[in-house]
Amino acid sequence: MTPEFPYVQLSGAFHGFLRKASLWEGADHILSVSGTRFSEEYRRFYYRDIEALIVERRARWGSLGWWLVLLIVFVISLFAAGGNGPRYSWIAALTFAVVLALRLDLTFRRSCRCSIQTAVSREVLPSLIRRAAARVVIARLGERITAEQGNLPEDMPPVEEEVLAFIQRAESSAPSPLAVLSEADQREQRRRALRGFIFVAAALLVLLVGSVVTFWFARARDLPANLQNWIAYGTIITELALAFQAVRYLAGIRFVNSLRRFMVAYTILQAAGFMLGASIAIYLGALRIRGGVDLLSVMLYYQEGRAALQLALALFGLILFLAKWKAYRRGEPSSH
Amino acid sequence: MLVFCPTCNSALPERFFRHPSVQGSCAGCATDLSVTLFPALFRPRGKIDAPSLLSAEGEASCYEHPGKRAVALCNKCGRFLCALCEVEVDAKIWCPSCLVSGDSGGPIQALQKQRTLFDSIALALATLPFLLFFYPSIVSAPVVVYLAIRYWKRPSSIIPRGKWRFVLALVIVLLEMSFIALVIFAAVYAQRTIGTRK
Repeated sequence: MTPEFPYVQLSGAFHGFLRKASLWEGADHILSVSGTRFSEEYRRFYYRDIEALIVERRARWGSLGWWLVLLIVFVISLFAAGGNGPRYSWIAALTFAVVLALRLDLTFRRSCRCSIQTAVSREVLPSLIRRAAARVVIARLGERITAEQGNLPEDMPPVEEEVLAFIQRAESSAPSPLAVLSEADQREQRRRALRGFIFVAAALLVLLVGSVVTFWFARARDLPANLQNWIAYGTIITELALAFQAVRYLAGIRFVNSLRRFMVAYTILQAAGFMLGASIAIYLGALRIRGGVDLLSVMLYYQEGRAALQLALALFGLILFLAKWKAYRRGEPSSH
Repeated sequence: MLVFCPTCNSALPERFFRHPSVQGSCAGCATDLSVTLFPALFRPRGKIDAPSLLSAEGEASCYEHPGKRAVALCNKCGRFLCALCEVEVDAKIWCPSCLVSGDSGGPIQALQKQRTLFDSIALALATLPFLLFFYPSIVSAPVVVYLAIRYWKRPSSIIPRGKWRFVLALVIVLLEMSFIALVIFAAVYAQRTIGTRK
């Protein structure tokens, strides 16, 4: 710890494709840094104010970029291996399955969300998403906080009467989150949720059908050029309309936060896909002039890769949909 | 003195308060939780004794609230401050006016909540146009140069961060601009040569 820079970095930084987060230990406070690649936000928690550190076991998907890289590597390796015979394709698929299993183990079994409670707020620490890192950080912070606040006695201080009564009342009643709303609001809430779910189900169906059409379109070389163009335009218009509707609809529906994020991510990917596709086409056009590349086969791989990504996103969305449907059946108005 | 489940916001049951570090499930949503408690949770909340805050005859009173007893001096402007007005930042006492006006000898780091990373923006503007077949760099390159000059001295982030992003962005855009200038020069030269031959 140098005088110029009074912080030491703690374990467990999150480095996403767009977002990042880290945690720093200072002399009298911890500094939580989060933000995008282009801006940072700071939260300071003073050791003297920290009341509790809460770690909840929770699936954390981590960076979207990581999953995309995994998928792209899989698609490329599958095509690369396919050229040497089906046996190599199987090896590539098996390797991918092992890596995916490890990643899912990390996502579901070894992940958590950490919160820090003070007298006035409870904030999530976005850098701590893995349980091993959380254990290390909490042990370290525990020492600093204890040095500032002192130890709790062996026999814990008694819980105040009124607090105890509040807890017992909360435990005994435990109403459904929807029960606090009026009848009309409940009906409206359920109607909005149902509408949202029907829309998302339809959107996922379109995605699935779209991926199948893209696969077929990529292989159907003998179609007339006009028909090919019309299919391409139709796909683009449908996807753009779908993405626009998704953002518009889901912005107002609190039931489906994860699905909303998923649809926004999908829209961004589509936009990036169009731009990259145009650039790739120009690059390949330039290369074809020099006679170095079989343009058709490369474009075929590109189309199939895009279809595979679409299919994977649709399946991912389907899993989210089923998870959220269960939450809806339980009567939870929001995932937060 | 309550701890709430971060998932469902319900108050955690009493068994979580029997030991400094407890693992268990939330009664509301059955989420597995591990809770570490600290003495601040059990600290009695201070009760305000209103009469003691009022200034008596002959006592110094707050600059902002003339009826209240002064308990501190602003380290910047020297005004008397009551318990409500004194703000302690970095072991110094400030009055709200000095904090708001920013007249405290530069921005106080402990109060900063957000910073923009202009070096990352410059680097992104210098590199991303490659993905879009180079043409946008005609616009983005001068923007990168402007950002590098305008924000070179501004502190970038609270955590350690060098200037290498600015340097790299400048090198890339200088190469881009040289290439564009070369292409334009070659095009003009070729046109003139062809025109002369005709």
